[in-house]
Amino acid sequence: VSPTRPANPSADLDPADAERLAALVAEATARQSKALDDAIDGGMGHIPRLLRGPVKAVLFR
Amino acid sequence: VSPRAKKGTIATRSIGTDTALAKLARILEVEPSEVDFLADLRVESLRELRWEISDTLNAADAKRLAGVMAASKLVPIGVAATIGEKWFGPVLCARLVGLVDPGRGGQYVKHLSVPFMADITTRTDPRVVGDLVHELDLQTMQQIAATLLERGDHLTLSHFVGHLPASVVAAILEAIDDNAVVVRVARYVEELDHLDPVVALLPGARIVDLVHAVDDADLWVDALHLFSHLGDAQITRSATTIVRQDTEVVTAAIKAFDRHDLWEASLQLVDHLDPADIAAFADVLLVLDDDLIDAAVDVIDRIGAWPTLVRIALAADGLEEPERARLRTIVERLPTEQLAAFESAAAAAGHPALLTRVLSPRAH
Repeated sequence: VSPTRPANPSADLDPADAERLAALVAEATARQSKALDDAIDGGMGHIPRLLRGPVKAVLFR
Repeated sequence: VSPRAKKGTIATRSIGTDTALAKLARILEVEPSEVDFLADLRVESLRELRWEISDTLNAADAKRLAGVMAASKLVPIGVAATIGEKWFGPVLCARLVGLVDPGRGGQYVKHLSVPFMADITTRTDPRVVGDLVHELDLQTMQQIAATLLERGDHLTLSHFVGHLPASVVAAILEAIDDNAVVVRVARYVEELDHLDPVVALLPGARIVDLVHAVDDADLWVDALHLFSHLGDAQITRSATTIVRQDTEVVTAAIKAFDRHDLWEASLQLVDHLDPADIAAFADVLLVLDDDLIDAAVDVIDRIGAWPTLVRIALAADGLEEPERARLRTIVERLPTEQLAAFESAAAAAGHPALLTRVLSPRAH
């Protein structure tokens, strides 16, 4: 651990705040994941129809 | 730990905390008020939390994002860029910035709109940009910067200062005409040690313009906050530039230092001036009201900055009447113990007779 970096910044939080922050991170992660689902589906429209299934299977499974 | 700066110091903590919270809120895609509950954390902890969260978000869909990168190579680059702008949006494209081959990233830029690239920039973790910056042409970066500033977004540019070469930052600043905006961007920079090489690359005329902008917009608090993180050479350059401006500018600066209780930091600037510039500074000091002078002397007494006052008195020693008379009036008002402290500092600096000289009218 670098001496200029706190070893564990989350450790400075009380349990309630840590829980609140974890919830925000979980929400952001879920939003990002949903956006990625939508983006992949939308982007697949630009791949030739016959290739969509195989491409999706190879790249995203 | 209180995140607020104590009175009499440059408000580093407050600015730093607000900045760190705003940046944290941005990567979580929430309003800054939603992370206010973290305001008591140290700035360093907030910054570290942000990097941890950014890493978590980047890792969350790493496999699928890698798949997207692979898929993007199956179509012409222009088509992939269109898909990115139309379907993926800036949040996901920002996640891809760290995965894209820099050369290919440079090609994408040619097909993306400037507003969209500005959107991506706001959401990009600046640590992952790396060599991509070398593939972007300066004009594009300047256009992105201009777009962000047109939106009033000072935070994003500040985010990148610590992660781009100083030469690139200085070149981007060339395209920003609004000098007050430059100061506002700089105050959000967290990697303050990166400011010094940037300032070193700014031409003298730009420093003058920045000083006038600071004066016009009363940004002296921000300016002193920034000065305190520069190296000696750039502090000297900035302080010298300030005292060489019109009396009105120097007076406004001194009044702002008093108004914001920043005498201590401003007196430190005096130590960086050469005698001729200290004399110019003394010239302005001497026409100020007694209240302002008293405030300065109180700070000098409190922090033991008598050597600084000795330097000012030495510089003022060359003044003619009536400025000398004003100096005498000021010195004569000092309490005995402060006069003793002044004399002692003067003797230590090799000028034991300075007080006597200052108190004597100039012989013609």
